[in-house]
Formats: sequence, C-alpha cells, structure tokens
Amino acid sequence: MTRVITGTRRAKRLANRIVLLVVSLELLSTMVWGSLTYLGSRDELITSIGQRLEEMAMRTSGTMASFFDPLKVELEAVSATAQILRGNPDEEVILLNRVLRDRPAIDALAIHYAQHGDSIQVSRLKATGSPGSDSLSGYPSIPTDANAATRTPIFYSPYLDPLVGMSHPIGNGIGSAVAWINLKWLWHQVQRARVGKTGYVYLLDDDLTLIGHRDHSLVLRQLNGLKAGLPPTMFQRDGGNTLHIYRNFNGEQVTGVAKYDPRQNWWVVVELPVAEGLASLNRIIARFVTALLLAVAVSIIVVLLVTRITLRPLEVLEQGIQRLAKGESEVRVTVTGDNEIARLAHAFNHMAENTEAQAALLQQQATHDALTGLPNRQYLQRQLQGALEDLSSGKVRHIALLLLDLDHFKEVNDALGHSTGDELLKQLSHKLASRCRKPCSIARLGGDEFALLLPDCRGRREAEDAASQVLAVLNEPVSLDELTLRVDGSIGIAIAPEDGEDASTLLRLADIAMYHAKHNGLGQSCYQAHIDGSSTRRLQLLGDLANAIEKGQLDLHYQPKVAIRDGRCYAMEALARWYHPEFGEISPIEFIPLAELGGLMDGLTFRVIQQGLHDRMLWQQAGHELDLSINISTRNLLDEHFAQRVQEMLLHAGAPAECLTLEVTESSIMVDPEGARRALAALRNIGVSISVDDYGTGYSSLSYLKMLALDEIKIDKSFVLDMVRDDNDAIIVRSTIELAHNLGMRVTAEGVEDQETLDILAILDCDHVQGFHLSRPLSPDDLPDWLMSQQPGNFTLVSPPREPSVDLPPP
Amino acid sequence: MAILLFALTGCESPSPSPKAVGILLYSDARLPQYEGLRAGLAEAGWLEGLHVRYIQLNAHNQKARLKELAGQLIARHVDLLVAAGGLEADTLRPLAVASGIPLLVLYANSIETRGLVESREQVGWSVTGVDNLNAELSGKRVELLHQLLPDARRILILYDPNIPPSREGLTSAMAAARLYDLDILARPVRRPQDTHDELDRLTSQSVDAILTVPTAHIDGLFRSALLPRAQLLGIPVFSHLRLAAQEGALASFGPDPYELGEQAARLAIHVLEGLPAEHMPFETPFRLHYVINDGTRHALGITLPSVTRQQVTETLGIDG
Repeated sequence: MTRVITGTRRAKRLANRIVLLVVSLELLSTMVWGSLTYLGSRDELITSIGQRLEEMAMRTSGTMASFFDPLKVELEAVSATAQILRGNPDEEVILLNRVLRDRPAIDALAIHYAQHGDSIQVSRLKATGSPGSDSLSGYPSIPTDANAATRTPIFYSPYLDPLVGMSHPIGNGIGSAVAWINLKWLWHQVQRARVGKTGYVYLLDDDLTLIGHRDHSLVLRQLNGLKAGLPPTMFQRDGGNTLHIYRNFNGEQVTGVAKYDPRQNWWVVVELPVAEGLASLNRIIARFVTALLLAVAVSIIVVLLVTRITLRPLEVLEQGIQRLAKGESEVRVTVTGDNEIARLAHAFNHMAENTEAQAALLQQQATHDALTGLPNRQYLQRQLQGALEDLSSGKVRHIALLLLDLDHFKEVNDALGHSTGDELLKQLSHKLASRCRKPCSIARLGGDEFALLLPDCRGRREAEDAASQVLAVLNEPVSLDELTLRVDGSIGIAIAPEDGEDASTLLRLADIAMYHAKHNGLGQSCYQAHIDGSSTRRLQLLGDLANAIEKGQLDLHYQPKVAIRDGRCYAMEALARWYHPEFGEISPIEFIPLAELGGLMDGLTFRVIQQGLHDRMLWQQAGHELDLSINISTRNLLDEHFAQRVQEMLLHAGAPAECLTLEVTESSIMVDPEGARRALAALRNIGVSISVDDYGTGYSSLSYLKMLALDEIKIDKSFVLDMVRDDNDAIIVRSTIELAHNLGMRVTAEGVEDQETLDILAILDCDHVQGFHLSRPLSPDDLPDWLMSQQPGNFTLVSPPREPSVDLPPP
Repeated sequence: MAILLFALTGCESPSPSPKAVGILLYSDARLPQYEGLRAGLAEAGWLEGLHVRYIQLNAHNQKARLKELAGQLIARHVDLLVAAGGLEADTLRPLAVASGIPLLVLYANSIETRGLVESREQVGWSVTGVDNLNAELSGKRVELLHQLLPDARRILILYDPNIPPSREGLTSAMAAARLYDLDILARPVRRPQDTHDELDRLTSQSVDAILTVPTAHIDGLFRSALLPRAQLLGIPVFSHLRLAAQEGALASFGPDPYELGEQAARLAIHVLEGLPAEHMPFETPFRLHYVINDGTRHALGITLPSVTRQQVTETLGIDG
C-alpha cells in the first residue's frame, strides 16, 4: 500500500533562517530609522532647550530690573526730599518710615550728612532710637560724600537675609541716602521662576561669586572653589548665549545658559538637568525600544506562522525524501494546490515510482539467478537465516539443506556447448521448481550447483526422501534440440539442529556430504562426522584411537560365516569395535578411515590379528574348530613386510596359516594393483587365504581378480539385500557365483537377512553366507554360548530347497 | 509595525504619584498659615490631589495630643512634615530626626533660643521654615508704641521666664526702652492664675500701656482676661498678634500668619524637589503689618501722630 505523507514536522532550519533574515532586516531598518530620528530629534530638542533657557535668563534680568529700578528711583526721591527737609529730623523720620512702609524690600533707610556726621535712620525690625543715634552700625559702611550712586557687595544679615546697600548722593557732597535692601524678595522671585520641573536659575556676581542660589550652602562661594565644570566659554559678556552641556557643582549633568546683566553686573545662569531636558526624548527612546521588542516578537510569531504554512508542503516533501532515502517503499506525498511545490510533489511521486521499480528490479537481480530465474545464493542465505530463526524460536523442529551438484555437467558443456548446457540448466531448474512445493524452496548457487531448503522438515528420513525425489526428477529425460539426455546428480544433506545451527555450517556440511556422495557414487549422502575430515570430533577420535589401539582398548566382535551346504559355522569374521569413553560406541565406518588417515592401520590390523588368533585359540580349547577372517586395508597391502609379520604372529599364536583368511576390498586392491598383487602373493605363499570383500562395488573384474590368485569372493550386501525383489541384483549375484566358481574361488554372500535370500543363495550354489539372519556380530562373551547352542547342521536351509521366487535370467 | 511604534511612542507616561505633606496644627488658630501654604503651593503649580496631597492633623488646643498626632504623621510616611507653629515644631523635631523626614516650620520664633536649631547657619538637622521674629520685634514695638503714645512712660509686660520667646521678647523690649528712656514693668507669670493675679493688682495709675510678648498661656487669656481688664482701666494694649488688634487692642505689629504660610510654600517646593532642607536657612517674614484699631484709639482718646500714620499698614474699624 502506498504511504501518503501528511506529516507536520517543521522544516526548522529553513524557517529559522527566514525568521532570522526577516527579524534582522526589520531590526536593521528600524535601528537605522530610529538612530537618525533620535539624532535629529535630539538636535532639535537641544536647540529648543537653549531657546527656553535663554528666554528664562532674559526674564530673570527683567525681574531684577523691575526689582531694583523702583528702589533706585525711591532712593533718588529720598535723596532729593532729604535735601529739602534738611534740619527737620521729625519730617525726615516720617519720610523714611513712609518709604519703609511702601517698599517692603528695604530693611533699613538712612540719611547721612557728611558735614556734621548726622544721620537719620529707620529700621523695619529694630528700634533705632532718637534721630542721630547709630543703631545700624552693624551694616557695611557706605561713603557718605560720594557724588554718585554706589552699591555694596552682597552680605548676609544675622538672620541670614541677603542684603545689599545702595546709596544715592544728596546734593553735591552734602551727604547720601542709603537703603539696605533685602534681596530675599528678589531671590524669591528668581527661585519661583520655573525652568521645566527641576531646572532653576541662580546668580553670579561679576567675579563669579555665587550670590543667589536656592542651596544656601553654596552662596558666597567662588565658582572656581566649587570645582564646577561650567565651561569658561559660557561667561563671555559679548558672546552669544550658546547652550552648554556640562556637570554643575552638584555633579549633575545639565544644560545651561549664562547671560550677563550689565545693569546689575551679575550673571544669570539658567540650568536644566539633562535628565529632564532630554527626558521626553529618553521616554521616546524607551518606548521605541519597548515597541521595537514587541514588534520583533510579533514579527517572529507572524513570520513563523506564515513560514510554517508556506513551508509545510516542503516539510512533507522533505519527509518523503528522507523516508525514501531510508529505503521505505511506496512513499508518496500529497500536496494540494497548483503551485511550484505541488508540481514538485507530483514530480517526487513520479520519481519515487521509478525508483521503486528500479529498486525492485535490482532486488530481483540481486536475489535471483539471471539464467534460470531461481533464487540465488544470497536469497537462499536469507531464507535459511529465517528458517534458523524459526528453529531457534521453536516454530519448527528440523531444517534440511540439500546441495545438489549435477554429474558430468562439464562433459555436457564441453561436448554440446555452453548454450546447450545453459538450456539444460534452465529446463532442469524449471522442472525442479515446478515440483518443489512450499515451504520447500530451491535455489541455484552457481554453475551446476543447486540447493533445496526444507524449512520445516520432520527429520533425516524426509530429507533423504526429498533427495531421492530430486534425483528422480533429474533422471527424467530432457529434450535438447534433437537430443534426449538423462542427468544424474549428487546430493549432500545437512540437518539442523543435529549437524549445525547456523547457515554457514549447514552449507559447509551439506557441501561435504555432497562431495562424499559424488566421490563415492552414492547419489545422495547425509552429513556424518566421519566423512568430514576436518571435524573436531574426528580429530579427537584420531588421537584417542592411537591410544586405544596401543592399550588394547578395542574389542573384537565376531560374525559367523556359515557354509550353506551343511549349515556349519566354519569361520568367524573379526570385526573391531570401539567404545569411546566420551562418544560412546564408534562405528568402524568412522574409525577405520581414521586409522587409515592417521597411519594406524598397521597397528590396528596386527592388534586384531593378535586378538583374533588368541580368541581362536580359546575357541579351539573349548572344542570349536573355527577359521578366522580378518579385514585388512590398502596400507597393509602396501606394506611389503606385512606377510612376514602375519607369519610371525601365526607362529606366535601357534595357529596354522590355513585358519586365517584376510579380506581386502576391491578399492584397496585398485589403489596399487601391482603392489597389491605382490602383497597378496606373499600372503598366499605363507598359506593365508585371501578374500575380496564387498565385491561388486568397485570396478574390478573377476578376470583381473583371477590374476591375483584369490581364494574367496564376498558379494557385497547391496546386491544380496534386494536380490529377492530385484532381478538385476539376482543376476549379478548368480553370475558372480558362477564365474567365481569357474575361476576356482569360493563365494560368500553378505547381508543375508532373511530365509528367502538364504534359500535363493543356496539354489545359486553360494558357498558361504553371512548376515543378520544367521547371527549378528557376537561379543567374545556371547560367542561361547552361541557356539554351544549351535549343532552341526543348524545352518542348513530351513526351508526346503525350491526354485527361486524370482525368475532368474539365464546366466 | 510602524503604526504600533507610532502608537506606543505617542503615549504619555503616567504621572508620578502626588507628594504627601503632613501638617500638624495645635489649634484652629494655626489655620491661616496652613491655608497660606496651600495657596502658595497652588500658585506655584502644585495642585492638590495631582502633585501634592495634604494630611492635616489638628490637636484642637490639646497639647497632650500633639505627640500622638505627630506619630501618626510619621507612620503615614509623608514626604514632608509641616509644623504650623513653634509647639508643633518642638513636638515633631525628635520624630523627624529619627525618621529622616524633613520638617518645614510655618510660624515660629526664637528658633535658636528654644533649641529648634543649633544655629541659623548650621541648623543641625533637616529643617527649614519661616521665623516670625515675634520676640525680636518686641523692641520695634516699643519704638512704635513710643511714637504712638509719646506720653506713656511705664509699660507693663507680662512674661513667662520659662518660655524662651517670652523671655527674649522682654529682653528686646527693655533694650529698646532704654533708647527712649521708658520704664518696662516686667511681671513674670508662670501660669494663668499668675496672670489673673497680676491683672487684679493692675490699676490705671500703675502703668501707661501694656505690651505683649509671645507667651502662649498669656495670649490665651488675652480676650478673656487681659483685654477686659485693660479696657476697664483704660490702658492701651500693644500686641504682637494682629488678632489682638482685631479683638480690641490698640495696635499690633508683626507678620501675618497667612503670608508666612505662603512664603514657606517656596521652601516646601524646594524640599519636595529634593533639595536638603538644611541647605535653606530659616527666612524672615517678607512683610510686617502695623495695625491700628481705630475704635480703641477713639475710645482711649488717642490722636494718631504723623510718624505713626506714615507707618500704619492697616487701620481697623470699631468692630475690628
């Protein structure tokens, strides 16, 4: 099912960049605009403040003029009147008191006459006594004979009232009228003047002495002594009233203007703290910054929302691409609308479809064989792995892996060409695949090698059945052009968990089994440790076998060889048995090859001969005259001293050579036919009988064997077991017996497991028989009882002689 | 965003909360200077409720309550304490010093003698205000009395030696009397009964005039005891209180409490704006008022001399 992506995850990085860009541009433009606006506004504001302060300074000068001018006029009037009233003190007192009443800024008034030192004086606060007394002696002196109006410096009364004395001449050197003016009136007017909220006006004397300030602690102090930061350029009498920004003597940063009043000879300074002067601008700045932050926040939110809405289709696309990159299949995106992104989404879907098709093709190519279409080794590995997981989880009990290798396929290729070989492979693959039913699966591993996996197998038998069926299918005729071919194969079988529990082990073991089958012409073979030269068990057994041989830990069992004519047991075939302390009973099929591989055959053979001769002596002592048959190997045959050793052992045992028959296999002889011939001749020379074991499984012919001067042939049990049902086997047995007899050799049939077979062999005139029907191999302990239970003739035919149940073809 | 910026930058910031001014009054007699203060502040733009709020506590002539009310003002964490008179200033002083709240005195005299300040130059704590100079002006009153009643030679002054302004007023009067060769008949009174006793002993032949000096318990008996006795005996009274002239005294000379309140408003503004109070010395009154009760003058058969006429600032009718 196609997966449609409608995810909501944000494309954070892109969105963040957009937000950052927008906010940066917004901040930049706003800051530039704000800075320019601020600077312009600040200049305008400072100019405006300067104008305000200058106006205030001029108003203060006006206030001073309106304060002093009437007083001067009044004093001038007093002077003029005093000149008239001279000599009439009562009138003069009345005059002065009237002025004192009408001019409350005047604290005291006096008329001084220079000629006699007379004076008339009145005070607002004090009793002055009779005319002529000097009750105002505490005030600064003023010249009484001055010809022009004068003024004293400012001083302070005992009540800390600021005072200044003004005088005006009476007549021409007669005297003067003096007024002591309380400046608190003026200071009150000046200080009441408001300069903004916190600005103020103060006065400096001509010598820059602070004469009027709301902070009385500063009054009468020199400006230099105040360490004020007032710039000297402020105090230029003919200069403009440029606004200055500085720190005043309170350490406060102020904007200030100083204006010189030429009539009073005082400086008027107007100051406004910068904090207040630029307060409105600062408020604007603060609000601007607040608004800016708010606007930025709003912008971020809006941009984020818009970005999210705009980029959401891109996010969906991104998700789709990521999922596609992860290898997910059938990934599709849905973007509505008819814009670039929607078209991009459509293209993406189209690309995804193509990509998936390509991926499926690649997957098919990666997991299947191009020639046959069968799954390849990689696919098999995956299936095998899955099956092993089922095995480990208990879903299945056994897994069988069958490896098939075609026989003589190379010859087909060489003879008919590779195209024919390929066609053969295709047809065989098709046939095998069509016969293979799930859960069974088949794969081509390469060349002419195939694998069959049974993921839920009941056991070895089922695997063997399956192998047989595969071989049967292979053996069916295949038509190639005008040719009809039959193909054989070799199959190796490995079973899990018995043989291994991982894929590589199973493949390796199945391969070993397959080669074992091919090498031995078995058609099919289940893996067994003994066919695996490299198994750990095998290596351990190899070491232990040498020890067992040396210490005589191998046992001998004996299988009777019975003469058909009289049913008499005339010999025992010694069969070595090894009971391993760890692995239990080890089959000769396994340890004999080990002995050959490890160079132990000499020791093993001599040990068996020695033990067998010993046991034979015991039988003899018990009254049983029995011959002894012992199997020897290729290596014994290749040992040129073997015959001599055997002779020595016979002598040592006190046994005649005639009682000993040595059995060799066809294959042993064929390893080195000439060497075998010499060895066998040597043995014959010492009187030992030679028997060919497992006859029929090799490729030797009786005519060849005749050259070896053998005494006996033992027909392999594979022919004997089915001879009742298989005419071919019966023919082979019959022909072999007749031919052997003709060559002067006696014949022993192995594998007699029922009476019917025994009967037929009797009819066929076989000399001797062996098999479970007569007796299983007996241990030395069981053998005496068995011998005692046997009477001469016990092994004659139980059934009356009759014609074979099968129609034997003529020889 | 530009609209948002414009809207925000165009907004006015909220006004700061009004300054709290706590006023302590001994009695309703102190109301004029309080009203003067409010008027002065209002004239300077300090609007009540917007820039300033007043917390007025009145002891209604109960001196014992002054301390309690002063504590209440301190507890209100006002920005400025205001003493309507000298008693209030004496009561508020320790609390103001302890709390660090500046004190403004509207109407007081003998500020050094009574110990309100260490000196005029160095007051020693956060205080300022207006000195009415009532004690110091006693000398000037002697001069004015002499000009008004040139024949009066014996002047009676009742004073309390335990009260500094009273004592200082007597001293100033005696110094002036020496200038004009007048006799000051100084009679110490320490309690109201002493005043009554002195008045009982008073005869029309014993004194030519009575001059008052600032003494609270004597001032309190002016209308009920002193003035009736003087009128009975036909003795002119020259007072330091305008109110006394209104009630029947021949004349008064001194500052107007309302005007002193107005004058103190400027100092209050400086303090409320952050200037240390101790940096502003006590001020003297802008104006002094010479008031003549013409009814009393006619009743006493006194002719107003020219020198007096040129100095009188206010003439009251018979009804005051």
